[in-house]
Order: sequence, then C-alpha cells, then structure tokens
Amino acid sequence: MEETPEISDEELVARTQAGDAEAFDALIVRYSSRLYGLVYNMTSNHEDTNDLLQDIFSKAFRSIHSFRGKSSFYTWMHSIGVNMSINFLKKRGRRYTLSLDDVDSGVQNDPDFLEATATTDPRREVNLTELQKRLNEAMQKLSNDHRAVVTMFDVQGMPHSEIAKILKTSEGTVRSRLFYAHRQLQNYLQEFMSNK
Amino acid sequence: MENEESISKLLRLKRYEHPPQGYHKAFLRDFHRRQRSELLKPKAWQSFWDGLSNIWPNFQVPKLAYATMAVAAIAAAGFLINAPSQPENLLVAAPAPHTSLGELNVLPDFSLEPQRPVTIGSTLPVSSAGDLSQHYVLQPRPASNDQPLSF
Repeated sequence: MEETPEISDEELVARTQAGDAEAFDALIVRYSSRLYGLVYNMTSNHEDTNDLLQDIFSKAFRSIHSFRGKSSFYTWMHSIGVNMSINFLKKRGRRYTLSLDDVDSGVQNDPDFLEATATTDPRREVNLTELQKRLNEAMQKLSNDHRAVVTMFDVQGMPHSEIAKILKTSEGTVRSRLFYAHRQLQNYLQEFMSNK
Repeated sequence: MENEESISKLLRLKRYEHPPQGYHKAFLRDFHRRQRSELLKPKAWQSFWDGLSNIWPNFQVPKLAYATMAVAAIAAAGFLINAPSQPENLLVAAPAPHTSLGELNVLPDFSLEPQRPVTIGSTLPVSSAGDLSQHYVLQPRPASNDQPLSF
C-alpha cells in the first residue's frame, strides 16, 4: 500500500484559513497530545487541563487568520497554550487540588525511576503513586514562569532556543529560570535525589 | 551539576503520565460539540434586547436611542461652553509650596541708575531742596495705620 505523505502544518493552516475546518481537525490530532502535556504539567489537574485545552484550540481556530507564518505553527500554538495556562493559573491562585493522570506502567522499568526509589530512605517504601504526587506538588510550588520553563525543557524535551521563541524572551532568561527552578526543586525532592 | 542532572532525571519521569486511553479521540468530538453549542449560544447583548422586548413589546429602540444620544450630546456641549472658567489670579496668588527662605530674602538693588518710583504699599514723598526728582521712602505698612510715638 502506498504511504500517503504527511501534509505539512503550513498546508493545513492554509487550508483552514481558506475555510476547510477538517484541516484544523488534523492539526488538533497532531498537537493535542503535546499541548495536553504542556497544560497538564502546568496545572497538575486533568479536568482543568481538558477545559483549558478546549479553550486553547478554540482560540487558535478563531484567530487562525492572524497567523502569518512568521514562526512555526507549533511555536504559535505553544505560545497560545502557555499564555492561556498562565492566565488561568493566575485566576486559580493557590486554590487547587491535584487530579493526576495514570502513570504508564513502563515507568517501573525506567532506570531513572529505579534510581530515584532506591535512593530514598531504606526504612520507608516509596511507591509510584507517592513519587508522582511529590513531583506534582513540587512543580506546583514553582512560580508559573518557572514551571512553564521546566515543563517545556525537562518534561517535553524542548531546546532552549525553542522555549525562548515561545516565551518571547532570550535564551539567557530561559537558562536562568531553569537554574533557579531546579535549585528550588532540589529542596523539595531532596530525598529522591541520587547524591543526597 | 550532578544535582542538576539528578533533578532533570526525576522530572523526566513525568513523561509517563498520560490521560486515559481514547482521550484524544474523545477530545476532538468534544471540540466539535463545544463549537456547535457556541454557535447556538446567544450573545449577552442579544439576550438583553430579547429580555427588554419581552417586557415592552412596542419598545422603539433605535428611535429612542438616537433621540437620547442627541439630547445627551447637546447637553454636554452646552455644559462645556457655559462652564465657568477658573480665574487666573487665583492660580497666581497661590503660594509656591517649595519657596525657600533664601529665595524670600531678596537683596536690595544697589545699582547707580535712577530708581523708578515703587508703588508697593503706601509711599510718602520726601521733600528736599537739593533733589530734582521726587523720591519715595518705602514704608513697611500704610501710613494711616502707623501708631503714634509715645515717650
């Protein structure tokens, strides 16, 4: 069977701008997973993430005509996602409850997980659920700007340059935020770190 | 540096957190449903006018609105034209809040040029045979308020 070549983002955006709503559906399918990760790691709440993600795609759809292709669609979508998440978190304030996603069972074989659980106090057994909870609590203690950088760099694996474009800031600022965020997280997660 | 790496390793474990199976398919359906419901949702101003016309069915909105706007504009223009202007001397008479004592102690003018008569307060003419021009001596207060000398 002949493999259909993947349609580029630019092509899908152009089709959407020309009135093809299905082209936007293809963009949703392509980016919903990554944007879900971004918003979920910012909010640590599944329901909030779902509502916010709907709003983010809705806003992107409404303002698709303002997208001129100066940056990639991926960067543009992430900018909308980060800005809307930060606005939401400002309104939410400190009132939040963790509503965490399931953790893939594959984590049990991850050497980093094994290392983290092995370095904890041997008198106390740390399970996966507890580690997940502690990680999310630690993330929520960061400022919104710091959490955004940590999410994109450490969790989503984006390069500094891409993060800088999304946040419309310099790479130096991104590195500085990362440095301070990591230092703060080290205090919260001391017991799980290998060289304590 | 080791700490940095260690914390990065821990944070990478968050990649294993995923929404329930089939979430993303349901997400697209939900997106379409929300879009349709947004189209059906009446706008706030529309609901306001609908409510108003329910209360008062014969309400002539455009005519009344234009008439009200015209009256309001005329009234505003009239008010602006007839508004009393603030007297300027009030502003001049107001003491400068930052005037220092040094500024108040003005040195007298010792120039040799003929002095022009000064008309601050009351002045008394001093007659002298040698003087060709009339001179005035400044009095600290009006002459009529001077206390008589008593010994």
